[in-house]
Amino acid sequence: MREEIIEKVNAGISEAGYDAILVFGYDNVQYLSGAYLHFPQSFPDRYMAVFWTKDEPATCVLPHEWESSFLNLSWINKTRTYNEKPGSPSGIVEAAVHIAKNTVRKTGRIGIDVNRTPLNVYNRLKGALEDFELVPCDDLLRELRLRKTPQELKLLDEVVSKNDQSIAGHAHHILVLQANGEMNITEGIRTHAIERELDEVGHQAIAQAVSEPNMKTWWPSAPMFGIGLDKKPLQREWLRMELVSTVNGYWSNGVRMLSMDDPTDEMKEDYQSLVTLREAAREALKPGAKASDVYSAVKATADENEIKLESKVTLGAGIGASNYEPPYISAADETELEPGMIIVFAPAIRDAKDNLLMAKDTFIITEEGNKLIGWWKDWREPFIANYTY
Amino acid sequence: MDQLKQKIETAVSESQYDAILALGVDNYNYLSRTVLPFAENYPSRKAAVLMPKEGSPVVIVPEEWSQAVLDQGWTGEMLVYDENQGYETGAFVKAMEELIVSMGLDKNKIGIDAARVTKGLMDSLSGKLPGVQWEPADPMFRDLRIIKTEGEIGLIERACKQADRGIIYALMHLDGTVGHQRYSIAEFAERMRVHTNENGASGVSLLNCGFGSDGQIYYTPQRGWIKEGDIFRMDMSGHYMGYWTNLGRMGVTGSPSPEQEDAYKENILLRDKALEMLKPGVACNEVYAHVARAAEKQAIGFWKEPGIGHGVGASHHEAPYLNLNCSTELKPGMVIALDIYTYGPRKELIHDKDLYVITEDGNRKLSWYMTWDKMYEVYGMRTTH
Repeated sequence: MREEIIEKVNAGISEAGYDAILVFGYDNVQYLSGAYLHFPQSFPDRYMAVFWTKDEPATCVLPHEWESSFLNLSWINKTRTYNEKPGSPSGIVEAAVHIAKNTVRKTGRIGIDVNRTPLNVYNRLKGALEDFELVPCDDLLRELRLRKTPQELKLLDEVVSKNDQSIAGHAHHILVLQANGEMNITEGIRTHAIERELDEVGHQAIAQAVSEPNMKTWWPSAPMFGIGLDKKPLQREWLRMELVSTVNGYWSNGVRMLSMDDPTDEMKEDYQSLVTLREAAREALKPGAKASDVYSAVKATADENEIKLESKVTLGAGIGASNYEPPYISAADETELEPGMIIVFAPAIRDAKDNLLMAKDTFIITEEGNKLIGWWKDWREPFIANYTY
Repeated sequence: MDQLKQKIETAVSESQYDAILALGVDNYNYLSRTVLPFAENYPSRKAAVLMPKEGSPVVIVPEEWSQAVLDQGWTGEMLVYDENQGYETGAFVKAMEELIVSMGLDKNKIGIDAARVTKGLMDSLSGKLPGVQWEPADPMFRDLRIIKTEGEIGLIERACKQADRGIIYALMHLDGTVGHQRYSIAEFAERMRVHTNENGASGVSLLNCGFGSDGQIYYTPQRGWIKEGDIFRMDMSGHYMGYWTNLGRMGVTGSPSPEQEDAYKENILLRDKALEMLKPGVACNEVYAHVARAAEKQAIGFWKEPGIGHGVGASHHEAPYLNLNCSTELKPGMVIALDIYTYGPRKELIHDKDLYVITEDGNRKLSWYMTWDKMYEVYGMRTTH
């Protein structure tokens, strides 16, 4: 993956006419460096950046405490540490300015990810780099990250497949008449993820098992997110099983429905609604279509079939170096789909009891249309719980 | 937490701003006293709190997070935006524009957390609301957050207990397994997390177990198997209702060697030196200097660059900072994670990271569940654990 991304980034920087890019977003830093540190985004008072000069090796600027961890995981082998000053980004700014002045020609054009860079950092940089032209490079990073390389797709396929297998792996342990509580099931999903060598560290690497009636919300029992209550799923009830996991910093995001015993006719009908929406998405997800077209097609299918689709939310998003990124299956995303993009289709619907039913399926856009990846089983029907092990 | 609510409302009403807008996940948490689900992992999905000098505060949130905020008892106004109304932060900006205009604040001075809002988002907001005078309010956030109320300290203390119990319960699983019934490091880390949650924590973020040579650096992915004779470090941050702890503990598989024991004693010695200075009126860099002098006198090597601690509260790493650059004077109500790294016989990083609140008389330990004056020794020969 290293060579593919380095080549792609260098080409992108040249084509966009930058002399260098300076990137602060934790997801952008990970993409450019290959180093998955699960924690920088939870340190709002600490800054980390990659300075990538055209045709030269990149440098990572970071706090001293993280340096060796970064070097251990990254394909970037140049670092510059800085002294942290409370309430001030001056340390990282001084370090970045030093690199700029030593590697970029005066008046050179430096791209910066303004959609990730804190305003106070940007303002200091602007002042300190007044001889340079500071311009946004978010579009370049977006374009680079949107279309995955073959190695990225291979890794994502692995993560998505293991994620699905982990959910199903624990579903086998859920018995109709002797089910454990949600907290225990949640932990069971996590354990099955670890058994499959998925990383379950980080503040968003979570599992969540939610049964009726807690399924009425996205995040029950707030703020105990992804922990689970003590409710035990009962016969003929739904259980929503969710898992967000990573391998080497590449994400998967899956949800599956489990029926406690053979589903009732109403449950079958509700589940079929999710299948219908997935089929609508599958037809619409193809090169040349806009992300908003996919949204419209799914929405129209929901309306035609009187499916109570949750409004005000997107119907999915990309995954990669983050678990929620472009393209978005949203009325507002005009991105034209292209081969190499990867999308988690994630509709949420309400049943007659106001439960939120979900399914998350991952599609890769191909030359011909799309490829659905990662299915451990055929999800045209839910997982049906057993009576015995 | 009424004391905190009053403190925040007083600060806003006495400020030079007509309203305060918090966009940082930690500042949102602090002002609204509600926790968003993993919001720091969604850089393109925004939530905010707008606290006007007069009138009710408003949270602006996406649909997916809205019920979670209400379920935590939010009693102010709520504006839920439709993510299909704009690309990435576009829908949020549109909602903010309508809100600020409807509240009559579109020609006013609004304080914003400039250390959190991105340049791109600020440009969008300024473009839509050209009449607003946006001013950085970061010092106000810092001053508010740095001194904790009794209620906040209580939550932090509970978070400490949950985390320590989580770590210890995980260690209990490890007892009796080393050497013959192998445990993976990933599973051990997961046991720390799940037992912390079982003890009531509302979330775990930083999670790291560094065994043997992996412990020479701050973080390594949780890979491989636990084996006998290693010093290991267990680091974890977690929160209880949005208030954080941030602990570091040490263990050894098997009986410690004299060198390992001595190395840990050196760390405890420096910790005790630091505790002499954790009291009101002492500047953070004086605490650091005191430890540095003691280390030099005792010929104890310590990792200087990261400093020797930091604040903890609505985030797990915040002001003040116990390093050379921070001249903040310690005051009652500040909560400090004291974190001195020394070295083991194989250059493993050793620390015993505890939380203390500064009191009128000195300090009080918040992470008191176990003393950790010795490394936890993992041994035993059970096969049915």
